[in-house]
Amino acid sequence: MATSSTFLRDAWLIAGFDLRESIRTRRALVLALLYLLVASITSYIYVEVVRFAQEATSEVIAGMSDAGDKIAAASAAGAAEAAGYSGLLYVIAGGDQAIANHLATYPPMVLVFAWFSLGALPWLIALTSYDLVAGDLHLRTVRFVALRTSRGAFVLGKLLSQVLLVALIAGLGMLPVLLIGGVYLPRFDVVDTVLALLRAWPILALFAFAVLGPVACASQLVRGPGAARALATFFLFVLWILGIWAAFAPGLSALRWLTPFAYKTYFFHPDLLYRLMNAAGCAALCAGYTWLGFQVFRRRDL
Amino acid sequence: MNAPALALAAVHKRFGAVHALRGVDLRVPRGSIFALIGPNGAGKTTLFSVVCGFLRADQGSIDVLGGPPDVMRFKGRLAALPQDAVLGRELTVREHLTFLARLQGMSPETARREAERVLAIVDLGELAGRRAGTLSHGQVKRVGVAQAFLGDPELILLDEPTAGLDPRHAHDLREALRGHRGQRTIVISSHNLQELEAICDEAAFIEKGQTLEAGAVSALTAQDAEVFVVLAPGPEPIDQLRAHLGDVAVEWDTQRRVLRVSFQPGPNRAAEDVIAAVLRELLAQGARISGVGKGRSLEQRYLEATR
Repeated sequence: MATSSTFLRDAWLIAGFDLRESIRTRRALVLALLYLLVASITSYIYVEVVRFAQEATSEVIAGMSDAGDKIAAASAAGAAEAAGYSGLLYVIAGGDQAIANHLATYPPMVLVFAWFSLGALPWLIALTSYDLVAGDLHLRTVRFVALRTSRGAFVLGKLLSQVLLVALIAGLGMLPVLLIGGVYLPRFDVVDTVLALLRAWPILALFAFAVLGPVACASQLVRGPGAARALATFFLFVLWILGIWAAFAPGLSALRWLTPFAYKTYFFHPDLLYRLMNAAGCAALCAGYTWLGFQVFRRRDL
Repeated sequence: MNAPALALAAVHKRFGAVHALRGVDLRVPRGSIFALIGPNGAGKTTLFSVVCGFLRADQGSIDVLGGPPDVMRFKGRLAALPQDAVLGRELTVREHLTFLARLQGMSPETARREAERVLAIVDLGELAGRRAGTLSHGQVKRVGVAQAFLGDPELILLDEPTAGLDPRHAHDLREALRGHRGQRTIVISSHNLQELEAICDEAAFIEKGQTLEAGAVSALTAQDAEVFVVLAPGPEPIDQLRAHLGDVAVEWDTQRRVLRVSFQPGPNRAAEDVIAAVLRELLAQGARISGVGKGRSLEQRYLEATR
């Protein structure tokens, strides 16, 4: 019987090998570039919105002759901006004022990037990771590994490699935030932004676990990469709908915790315990869905 | 007697309506080079896959290296060249082999050395740094063979190892396999029966998912119980030979001009003794000899067995 140290060692070896293989493929490069592009566009749009708001306010204030009016208008504009931003954070936080307050501790540009990333990651992962097992089954590459380690270590290794890949791509996506913010925003605090991005990075990686669960499940159920992609996308879509439905269905709101999408907000809870429980929830969701798929994979012909 | 490296009894495997293995029995002695012979679709690849644990048998008993197929028990002890498995395209040959060696429990340095060693066996040392996706079909096959030798496993299953290789590399691989005789058990599936006859000690004929015959190659080809003589055009003293030799069976193939003498081997009756007696009588009768040999070719035996 495999010892747990052998199991983990093998899984780690597979993760490292698969990650190296993944980052040399054209698909990973294209997706990294796509992520960078969208991150850049998001950052740029944010910068433009800020600039437009500031210019519009400046124009209105410049048209006033009285200095007292100018101060009052600037103060009112600032208050309106703050109120609007707080309201937006309240909506993002799902009506939880404590989370909204914690979100406010992030620089807005980092928050925009993080929220965009959390929204895009499920579909990005569905596009990059759908064949994490099905691809090896299709080409029968798995046969070289299956004589040397357990199927469980194989799946865990593949899963870890995809988490690392997502973390890598998400990390790359932070560069445009720094670059565009630094170039276009007059009062851009680089240190503050870097520290906030570093706080957001593990959130993205942990959230990737939650999304990878259903994707890994789909990838173990079918042999062809095309079928795996379709099934992974279908699973995520169904879970997305389930999450929305559960949020409004009386007495069934707990069902939303079966979907990865429910775990986005609580990463921004001010209480560390909530954040840790949320991370554990992501890991449990990943383990649960992967285990479901594994019940088919462990018995299937390779 | 040593336990066999591989023992299968009444193994069945179905793929939907296709009954790929219909009660295969097989016993592969330790240290032997064993040939698995059969036409396309006979079930050879399925059999290999069942032994490796890639496929689960529906029925029957499988004993591999003293136990049931279990990858964690095999770890490094059983290796295989899967017929249609593909290596990833992006990493180098060395990276692939080092990775597989590390999965067998080797340290990074040992794994790198082992990768170089097995690449030398298949004469691919100079391509170690090449991406696997840029290799030719034959080179990919040789890398596949190389990975099967990582860590010197006890049992190696090679599914058509020389298919697609050029004659030189096929020859070198045969020689390399021959060099492992007695050291480890190797099971080879191939359609090249001359090749199998040259390197294997034992063989089994498989057809339609069943074992037709199995045993030592020398017994299957009747090396000890049959001799043949090819006669050049001229006298055909077959009746005289029958009368002279007595209790042996003499067959004469007039078209191919091959004379076959089958006999019961005994302590005082080896194939060489029978050859001497046959040649003496034929020469005495004025026959012209153009060839002499023992037994039948594996190909002939296979054709007879599957007729």
